[in-house]
Amino acid sequence: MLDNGIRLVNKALEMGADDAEACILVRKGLEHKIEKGKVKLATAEDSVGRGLRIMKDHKLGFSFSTDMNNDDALVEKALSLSRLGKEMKEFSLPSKAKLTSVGSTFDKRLADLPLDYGVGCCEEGIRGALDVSEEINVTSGRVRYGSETLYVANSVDLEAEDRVTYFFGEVDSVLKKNGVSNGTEVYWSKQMDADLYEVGKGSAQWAIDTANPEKMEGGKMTVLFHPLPFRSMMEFVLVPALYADRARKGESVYSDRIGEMVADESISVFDDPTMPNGPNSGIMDDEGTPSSRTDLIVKGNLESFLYDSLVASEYSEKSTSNAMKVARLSDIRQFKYPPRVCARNFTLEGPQRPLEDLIAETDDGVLVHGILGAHTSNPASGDFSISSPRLLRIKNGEIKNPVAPVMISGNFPELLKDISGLGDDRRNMKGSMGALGIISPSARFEDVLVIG
Amino acid sequence: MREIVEKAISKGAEFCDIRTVETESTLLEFKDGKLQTVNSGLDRGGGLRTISKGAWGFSSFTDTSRESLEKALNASLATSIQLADKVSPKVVLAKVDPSSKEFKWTPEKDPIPVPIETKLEMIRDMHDSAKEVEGVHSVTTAYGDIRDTVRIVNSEGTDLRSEVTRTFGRVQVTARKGSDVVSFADACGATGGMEIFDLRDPIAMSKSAGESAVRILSARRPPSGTMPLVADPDLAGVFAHEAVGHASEGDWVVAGNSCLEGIMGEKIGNDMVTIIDDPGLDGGYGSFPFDSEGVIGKKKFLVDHGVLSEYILNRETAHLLKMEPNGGARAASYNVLPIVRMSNTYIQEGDYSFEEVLEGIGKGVYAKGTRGGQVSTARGTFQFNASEAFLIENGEITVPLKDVSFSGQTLEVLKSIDRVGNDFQLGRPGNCGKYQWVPVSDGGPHVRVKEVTIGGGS
Repeated sequence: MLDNGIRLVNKALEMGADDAEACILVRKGLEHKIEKGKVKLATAEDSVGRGLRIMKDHKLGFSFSTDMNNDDALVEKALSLSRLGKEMKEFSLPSKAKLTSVGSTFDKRLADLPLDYGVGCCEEGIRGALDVSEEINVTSGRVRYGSETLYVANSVDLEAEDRVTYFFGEVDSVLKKNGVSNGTEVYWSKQMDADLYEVGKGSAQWAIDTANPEKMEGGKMTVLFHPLPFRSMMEFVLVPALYADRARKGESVYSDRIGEMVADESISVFDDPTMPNGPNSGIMDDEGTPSSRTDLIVKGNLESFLYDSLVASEYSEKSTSNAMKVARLSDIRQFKYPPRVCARNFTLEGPQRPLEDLIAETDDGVLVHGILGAHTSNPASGDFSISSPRLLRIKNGEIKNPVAPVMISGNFPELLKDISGLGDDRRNMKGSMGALGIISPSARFEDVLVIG
Repeated sequence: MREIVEKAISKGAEFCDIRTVETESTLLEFKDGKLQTVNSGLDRGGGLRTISKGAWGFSSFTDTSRESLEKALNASLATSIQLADKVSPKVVLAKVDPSSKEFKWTPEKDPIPVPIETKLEMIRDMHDSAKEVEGVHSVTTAYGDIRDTVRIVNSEGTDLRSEVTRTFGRVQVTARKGSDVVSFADACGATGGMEIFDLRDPIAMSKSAGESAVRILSARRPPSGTMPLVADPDLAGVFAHEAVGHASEGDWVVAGNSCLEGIMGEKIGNDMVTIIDDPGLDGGYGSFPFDSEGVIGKKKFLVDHGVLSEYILNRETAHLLKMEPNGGARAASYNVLPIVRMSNTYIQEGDYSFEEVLEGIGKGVYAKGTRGGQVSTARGTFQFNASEAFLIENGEITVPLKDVSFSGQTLEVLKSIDRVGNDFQLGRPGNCGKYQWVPVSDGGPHVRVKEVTIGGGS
C-alpha cells in the first residue's frame, strides 16, 4: 500500500505539484452489539481510502478518494483546488525522521479479528451486570476491535507506516424500580486485555447506586467528578483551548498567557503519544512526524500549545506531532479529512490520593458520575452549565443518597486554579464525541454552583 | 448487486440487502481573511446486510468489484451464522412491499457546476460582514455541498435509487474584550442547492452573528433556579428533537431505554403540543426520499395534541412493537449499519402571537438558538444550551444574558408547555450524533414552558 502512496506522490510531481503528500488509511474491524441483555449482531468493516495534499506556488490543495487506481483524477482535483488554496510560504512537509517504536500499540490477536472474542466479551459484560442484580436490564452495549494502518509518503522522502490495533467496550444498564436509573461503563485499549465482566459490573452498580434519587437544595459546594464526566469537560473546554490554531489567534482563554500560572501548582498537563497502550499512541502522527511528548502546563504554569506542521509553520514553531485526520466530531480517523490539530493522549496529572480519602474530607458535596451537555460549554470563555442526571450526595465525609438531576455551572479554567484533589483512579479514555485521547483521574473542586 | 443478494438467499440467508453510497463533497473554510480549507473529493462504498438463521450480519467495503461484494457476503454470512444460536428473539423484519423507483431531487441551482471561486466569494463576503461589526475579534465562515447518490437492492425485490444534494453556509464569530472571550455560531442549509441562500441571506446572517457575539460579551449571567422559559423556533425544535424525538426512537423503546416505553396512546403533554418527524419536509436539511433500508420516509406524529401517538421505527423494531414501518432507519455512511434516527423534527405551530407567548411572565428567560443539547432517554432528563438569551421582566424582553443552559424531565416539561406560538420556522441545519452523525433539522414556533431549571450563573 505504501507503493500506492509513493506512486501517487510521483504522479502529483509529474503533473505540476511542487510538493505532495499521500496518506492512505486501511481499517479492518469487527463490532458486536448488545441489545436488551442479548448479543445482538456483528458487523465487519474493510475499508481503504487515500487523501492527497499538494503544494503548488506555496498554495495548498487537498482531495480524497476511495478509488485507489485513478491517480490522475485525484491529482487533478487537488491541483485545481490549490489554485484557491491558502498561501503558506513558510510551510514545508515533514521530512524523513527516525521513528521510534512505542510499546503496546499492536496486538496481533485483535488484528486477526477473531469472531468469538467479541461475542465472549459481550456475554461477559452482560454476566457482570446481572451478577450485580438480576433486576438489571443491559439495554445496550458494544464491543469494537480491529486494526488501522496508516501509510504516509511525501515528496521530501518520507515513507512511513504505522499499524495499531484498538479495542472499545461499553455496557449500559437500566434499573426500573420505583423509577428509572441507569449506569454506563466503558473500556479502551490497544491490547486484548479487556475485562468486560468488570465493565458490566461497574455499569450495573451505578444504576443501583443512583436509584430512587432525592431532590436536593442547591448552592455552592464541593463537586467530585468521576473520570468519565471530567474527561468530557476537558474534551470540550480545556483541550481545544490549548490548540495553537485557536490559542495563537486569540480565540482561547489561554491566548497570550504563556508563562502565566493558569492552574493549581500541583497540576501538570501534557500530551504524550509515546505512552504505551495510550488511546492514540503510535510511532508518528498523521503527517509522519515522529511522536513526542509535549508539556502544556507544568505545575500550573502554561508552557506550550499543540501544533501540527501547518499551524506550526504560521508561527515559526515546530510540530508537536499532533496532526490527526479527523473532523471535530468524528470518533475515528478518516482518509477524507486533511490533518488538523488534535490531542492524542492528553494527560492531566498531579498528586493522586485514594478516592475514599477525597470523599472522607468532603463535608458538603456531590460525586458526579454522569453529565449531559459538556459539548454545549462555551469553548472561548470556558463557561459551562451542564446537567447531571447521575450523582450521589456526600455529607460529612460519607456518601449518603442518590440525587435527582441537578445543574452544575462554572468556569472550567477558573476551577482548574482551585483543584482540591485528584483520585487514585486514573484512566485511559477517548473523547465522548471526538477521536482525541484523554488520561485523567477523578478530580475534586470547591465552591462550585449546584442548582437543585 | 441483484446477483449477489440472490446468491445470499441461495446460500441459506433469509434476507439480504446491499446499499451503495457515492458521496461527492466540497468544503471551503475562510478564516481571518484567508481561505483556510479547500477540501473536495469522492467517497464511495457499500454495506451488505444478511439475516441468516434469525441473526444479522453486516460487512462494508470500498472496493465495489464483484469479487469484493462476494467477500463481503461471505463475511456477513459468517457473522450471522456465528450469532445464530445466541440471538433471541430471532430477527424478523416487518413486511414492506418491494419497490423500484428512482428519486432525483434536482436542486433549483445545482451547486456542483458552480465555480469554486463563486462559493469562495460568498464566504469571503460573509466573513467581511461579520468582521465589520465593532468588537468582533475573529470570524470563520464555511460553505459546503454534499451530493449522496444511493442505491438499495434487497432480496425482496426492492431496487431504489436516489440523488440528494445538501448545501450549507456557516459562520462562527469570536468577540473579545480584555480577557473576556465569547463565541457565537449560526448556519443556514437545506436539501437543495444555491437557492437556499435566496431564502436566508448568508451575509446578513453573518453580520447578525457578529452583533450577537458582541452583545453576549457584555451580557450578564442568568438567574439560577426554576422559572418560565420562552424558546424561540430554533430552540423549540431542539427540544422536540432531543427530549421527545430520541425517546421516540424504536430501538431505545425496544431495549427498555426510553421514558416513552409502554405509554403509547397516553396523554403525556398539553393538548396544544403536537410533535412531528417528517423526512419529506420540503427543504429540510434532514429530508430523504427513502430510508437506509429502502422504506419510503413517512411523516410521523410522535405526539398528537398531547397524546403519544407514534414511534420512529426501522423494520425490525416495527415488527417487535407490532407497528407499521415508517422509514426511520438511517446510516451515516456506507460503512455503518442503519439505526433508528430522526429526520426533520418539529413542534407544530399553535395559535398565540409572540406577544401573547410573553404575556404574564413576571420573571423568566427568552432563549434563542442552541449550541447543542443532550438527553438521557432512559431517565428522560435533558440539557440544552441557548446560543443567546434575554431576561423577561413583566412580559417584556429586557437585558441580554450569557451562557444560559436549562434542564428538565421530558414528561414534566411536555405538560408544562402552556403557550405555543403561531410563528413556525425551521431552525438551523444540524447533525445528530447517536453513534453516527446524520444531517437533521429541527423547528417550531415560539413555545412557552411554565417551569424549567435554568443554570448558567457561577
